[in-house]
Amino acid sequence: MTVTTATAKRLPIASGDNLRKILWLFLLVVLSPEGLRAQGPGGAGYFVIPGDAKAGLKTFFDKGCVRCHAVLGEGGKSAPDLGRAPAGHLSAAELVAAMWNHAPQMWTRMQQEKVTPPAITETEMSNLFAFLYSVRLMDEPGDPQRGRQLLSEKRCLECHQTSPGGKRRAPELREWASYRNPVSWIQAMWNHAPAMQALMEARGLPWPKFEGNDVPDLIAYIRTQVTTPHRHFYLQPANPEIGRALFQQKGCANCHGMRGTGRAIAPDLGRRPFPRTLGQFAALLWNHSPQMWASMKAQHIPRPQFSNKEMADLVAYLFAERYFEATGSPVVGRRVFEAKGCASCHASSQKAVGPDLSRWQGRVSPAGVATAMWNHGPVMLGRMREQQMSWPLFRPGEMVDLMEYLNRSAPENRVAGQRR
Amino acid sequence: MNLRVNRRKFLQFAGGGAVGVAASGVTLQGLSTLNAALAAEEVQVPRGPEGWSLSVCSLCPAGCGLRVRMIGKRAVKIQGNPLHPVNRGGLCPRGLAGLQVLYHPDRLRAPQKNVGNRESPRWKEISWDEAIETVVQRLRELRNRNQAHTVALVSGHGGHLRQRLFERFLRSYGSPNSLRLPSGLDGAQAAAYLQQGVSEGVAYDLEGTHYLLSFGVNVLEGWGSPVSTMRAFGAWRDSAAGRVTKFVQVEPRLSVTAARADEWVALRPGTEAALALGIAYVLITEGLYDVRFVAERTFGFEDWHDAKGRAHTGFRSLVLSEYRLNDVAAITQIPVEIILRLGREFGRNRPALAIGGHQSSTLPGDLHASLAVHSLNALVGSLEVPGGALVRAELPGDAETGSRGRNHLPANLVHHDKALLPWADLTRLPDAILSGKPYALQALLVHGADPVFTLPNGERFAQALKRVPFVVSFSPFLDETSAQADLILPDHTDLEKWQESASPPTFPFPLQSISPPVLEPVHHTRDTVDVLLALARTLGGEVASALPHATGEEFLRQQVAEIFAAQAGYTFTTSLEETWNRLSERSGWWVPTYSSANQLWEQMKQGGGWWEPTYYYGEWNRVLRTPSGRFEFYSQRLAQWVAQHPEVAKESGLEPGDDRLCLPHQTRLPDTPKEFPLLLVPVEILPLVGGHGAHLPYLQQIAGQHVFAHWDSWLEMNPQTATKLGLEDGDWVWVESPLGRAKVRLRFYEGARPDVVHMPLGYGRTQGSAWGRRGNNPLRMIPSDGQASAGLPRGTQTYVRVYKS
Repeated sequence: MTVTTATAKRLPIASGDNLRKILWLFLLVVLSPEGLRAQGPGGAGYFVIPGDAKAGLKTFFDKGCVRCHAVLGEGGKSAPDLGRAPAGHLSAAELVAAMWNHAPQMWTRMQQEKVTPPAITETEMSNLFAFLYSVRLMDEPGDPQRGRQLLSEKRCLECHQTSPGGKRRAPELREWASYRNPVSWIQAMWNHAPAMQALMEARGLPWPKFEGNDVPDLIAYIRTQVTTPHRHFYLQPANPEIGRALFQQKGCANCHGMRGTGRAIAPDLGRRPFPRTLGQFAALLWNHSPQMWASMKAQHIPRPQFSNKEMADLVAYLFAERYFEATGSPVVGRRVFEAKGCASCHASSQKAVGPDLSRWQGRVSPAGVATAMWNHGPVMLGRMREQQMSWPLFRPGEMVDLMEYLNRSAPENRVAGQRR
Repeated sequence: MNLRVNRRKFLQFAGGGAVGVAASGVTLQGLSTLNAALAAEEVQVPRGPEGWSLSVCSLCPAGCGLRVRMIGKRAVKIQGNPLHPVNRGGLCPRGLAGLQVLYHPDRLRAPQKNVGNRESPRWKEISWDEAIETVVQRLRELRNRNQAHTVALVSGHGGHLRQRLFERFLRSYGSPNSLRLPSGLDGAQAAAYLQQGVSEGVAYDLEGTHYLLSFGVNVLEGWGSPVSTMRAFGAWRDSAAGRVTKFVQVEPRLSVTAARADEWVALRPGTEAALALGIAYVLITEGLYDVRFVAERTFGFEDWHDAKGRAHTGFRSLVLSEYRLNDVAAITQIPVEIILRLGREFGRNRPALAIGGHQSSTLPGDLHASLAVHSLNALVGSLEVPGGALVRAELPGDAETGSRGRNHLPANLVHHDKALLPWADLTRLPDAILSGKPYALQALLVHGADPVFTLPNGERFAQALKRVPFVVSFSPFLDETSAQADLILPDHTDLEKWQESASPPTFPFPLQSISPPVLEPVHHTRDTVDVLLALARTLGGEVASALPHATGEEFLRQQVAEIFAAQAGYTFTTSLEETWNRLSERSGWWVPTYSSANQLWEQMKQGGGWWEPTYYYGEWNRVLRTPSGRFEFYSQRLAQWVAQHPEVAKESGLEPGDDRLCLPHQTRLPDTPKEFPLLLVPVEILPLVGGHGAHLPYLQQIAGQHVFAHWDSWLEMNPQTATKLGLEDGDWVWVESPLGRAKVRLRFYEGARPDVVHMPLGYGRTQGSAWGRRGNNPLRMIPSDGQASAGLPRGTQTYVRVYKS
C-alpha cells in the first residue's frame, strides 16, 4: 500500500503539534523542527514514518534490548545484531513477521536467564520500528582488505589507481577517500558511468557487477587511503519530498513506475526486491547502469545529472516508499488467518480463548500487532503449548495480508479448534 | 546571618562535606603550627539563589567537565558534567579539590613585583597597568634590538586553545621558543614518532581491548585521563555485557594499579624492554603474531638490504638470537613459564594492547622500552583496530602556522629542530641558558608550569633562571619558579575564567571543551589570555595583527568558527544521543544540532563542548608516515639520526652502525654501587600528580592511604630489607644519594622489592603555601641525564643508601 492520505489515517500518526514529534525516516529524517513541519501533499505527512527513530533508540536501551542485541555492532553480543539480521530489506510488516517468528525463542532464552520481558507500549514499539528501519539502511563498516581484493578482481585498477603517480586514464580513487556516505558514491557512479562505460568498452573491459557488501568494502578500502585529516565529507539528512519531486523532474518516472503508478518501461521501484542498505543500492544502480543507459539512449532520454544532495533526496524518497508494504490482500489474509490457526482462539464467539480480533478492525498497524504480540505473546505461547499447538510462523508477505484482512474484515465467528 | 569563619573552617567549607571530614583530620597532623599563620577571617556563608554552571578542570591534563553548584555568588560544590565525554559525570579527588584552589587563602591576590633580588625576593603589589606596561617595555625593547627571538615561553597544561594563542603571540612577536613541560606519554609518543611517523595524538581504545599489558604505566593513578581510564576499568569487568578483559600490570612495585590489576608481574626495574622482547619471542616462535599485518604494514621485521646493498638485522633475527626466554628471565627476574604464558595470552586474546614502558603521568619512560612495547602492538596487529593503539586526528585549526614575526629564527634555544624528536625538550633549556648558546635568553614567560619543582633537573633550572634578566610568571600561587620571577601576573583559577581544554592524553577522539566563567574573580587577578591580548594590543605591529581580539572570549569564538568550518562532530550530549550520532556519522550522515558558528558556540557553552565521537580505523596514510610508509620495527629516522650522532653508540656501549641502535633493545643496566645499594624509584600518586596539589589540604589528607601516611613524605621499604638494616616501621631515616640526602619517615611496604625503595613525588616545596612546604622532593636526589638518543628526560631513579637519622 502506498501511504496515501487515506491509508495514513490507519497509522497512529498524529497531526498538528504532535506531528512535530514525529521524525522522518532516518535517511530522510529531518531532525530540525522546521523539517518536522514539512509535510507531503495536502499536509498529510506523505512519508512520515509512525515513530521517532531516536526515541526508538532510547526504548532499545531502556527496555534492555541492548543487553542481548546490538545494532551495527553497538550493544550485546548474545542475540542477533538487529542492524544486520535478518539479512534482507524488511518493511514494517515484515519486521513484525520477523519478530513474531523469533519471539518464542527469545522468550525462552529470557526465561532461562530469569529476565522478565518488559512491557512495551504501542508508541514505544512504533519508535523501535522507526529506529530499526533507520539503522538497517546504514551499511556496516566494510572490510578494507576485501575491498582491496575486489579492486583487483573487478579490474578497477586497470583504469584507476589508489596512489599518486602512474599514468592511469581514470581518476585516482584516493580523491574519493574522504567521502563517507555511500550516496556520494551513488552520485559519482551515476554521473560518470557513461564515460566509464565508454572507456571500458574501448579497452575491452567487462562491466563489473557488485553484490552483497561489495560496495561498502570498496569504500572501506578507499577510505583508508585518506591523507588529509578533517576532510571527511558527510551528507546531511535528506528530504524524501524533494526526492519525490526529483523523481519526476529528472525523468526517472518516464521509465520507472512506483507501486503500479506511472510508466512501466523499467522496473517498478515500489515492487521489485529492494536492497537493505545504501551500499547495496549503489551496487544495484551500478550493475544496471549499462542496461539503463542503453534504454535511455534508445528512447532519446538525456541522462540527468545529480548533485550530492539531489541524489540523497532521491534515495531518501525511494527508501521511504519501501518502508510501507505493498497493498495486502484481505482474501489471502483470511486464508492466512485460518491456515495459521489464529481462528482457533481469536473469534468473536464467547467461547473463544483469545481476544476478539474483530475489534481491531480499521485500527491494525504493524506496531500495534507487534505490541500486542510482545505483551501478550508469552501467555499465548503458554496456552498454545498447553493445547499442544505449535507457534505459527509467517512466510514473506503473509503478515501484510493478515493485517489487511484484520483491518478490513471482522474475523468470522469461529470456535476454537475449527479449521479449514 | 553572616557567619564569619576562620582558616580552619575554610578547610571544611571549601571542600564540601566529604572534604570537610577529610580535612578535619588535619588538626591531628599539627595544624596548630599553621594556625599561627591564619589569614583574616574571610569566608562567609553564602546566601542567594541556587544555580549550576559548567566549567572545565585544569588540575591535570585530562580536562574533565565540571558542574558547579552556586549559591548566590559563591561556588559551594563541584561535581562532574554528565555530558562531558571524558568523565561522564565522574570526577577524581583532584577535581573535587577545585574549590580549595578557588578559595585558597594563599592565592596571589594581585600582580606582584620583586623589588628585592632573585636571592632575596621582596614582593610588592602593583597595579595591572603597571605590570602590563613593565612587560611591554621589556618586550618592545628586545624587539627594537632585534632580539625578539631571545624570549621564551614555558607552558604546562593550561588549555589547548590558550596554548594556541600563546604560540601565536610568540611567533608573531618573533620567537621560536615555545616550550612545554614533559609529559608522561612522551616515551610512547616518541615510539609512535619513530615507528609510525606521527608526532602527536597517541591514543588507545582502552575500553575496547580484551587484554591490557601495562609495562609500569600508572594506569589507575593519574595517567592519561584518570576518570575515563577508570570508566574503561569498569567496562573490563562488565560481566553482564559478556566482557572480561584481563589487565596485567608489569612493574617492580605493588602500586595501586598493580593491586587492582588481574595479575601483577614484579620485574626487575628497568628491564621492561627485555620482557617485551621476550614476549615477542613467544609470539614469533609460536606463530601467534599477525603474519598478514606484519607482511603488509611493517618494515624491518625480516633481515633486509639497504640501497647500497648493506645487510641489516631485522626484528625477528634480533629477538630470536638475543631474547630467548632463559636470557630474558635472567634479565628481568621473571620465571620463564610466566613470560611464556604472558606471550601466549597476549597473542591469543585479541584485541590485545601493550602500553609503556615504565611511565608516570608526567615522567616519560625509556625510549627503547617504549619501542619494544609498541612493537608488540604491531606484532599482534593491534594498530588501528578497535581495542588497539590509535592516532587521534587533529582538532580543526591545529594546523595553523600564523604570522612568524620579523625576527623569527628557525633555530630555537634547545635545538629541537636538530633533535631526533619533533618537540622541544624543556630539560635542555637550563644548559642552553647557562651556556648562552646558541644565544642568551633575555626574557622568560612561565604559564601553568613550575619547572623548578617538577623537572628532574629543577635545581639546574633554578640556577639558570638567575641568568635570565627578565622572568614573568603567571602563576596564581607562589611556587618554586615564580619565586624567582621579576613579575608575577596571577592568572584566574579555573572557575573564574573562560575555561577550555582539548582531548586528554590517550583519548582517541578530537574534542574541545569550552565554558564561560562560573563566578566573578575572587581577587584582583586576570585571565592570562586577556593579559597577552593586552600585551599584543600595546606592542602593536605584527603581534597586534595576529591577535586582534578584544577579549579572550572573542579569541575562543574564532577558534570555534574553525571547528564549525570542519562540518563534522557534535556538541556534548547524552550517551544515548551519542550512540545515535556515532551510528549516523559512521554511515556517512552528519546530523548537527547547529547550523552556524554562533549556534555551535552557544551549544558548546550549554553542553560543555564539541567532539567527534567516531574514529575511522585504518587511515594508513594518516597514521603511518614513516619513510617506508609502514610501521618500522627498524626505525629509519632513528638510523639517520644515529648516523649523524656517533656518540649515541658510545653511550649505549654499541659499535657505530650496530643495527640494535635502530631496533628495540634492552639498554645496559648500570651496576649497583656498593656504597649506595638500594635503588630509589619515585612514585607519582594521584592526589599529587604532576607534582601539584600539596598546597590543598584535601589532597594531602588522602595522599598516602596505602601506608597510612599523610601530610609528609615517606619512604617505602620492604620489611626484610628494613630488618637487615635494623630499621623499624615509622623510624625517621636519611635517604642519601651522591647528590644529597633527605630525612623521611620509613614505612614498611611489602609491595616494594627488597632492593628498591620508593618516595612519592609532589612533596618538598620550599615556596608558597605552608601546607605544601612539607616533606622532600626525591627528584633533588636524582641525577638528570637526558636520553641522548631521544631527548627524553630520564632522571627517574638513582641509587641510594638508607640509615637511621
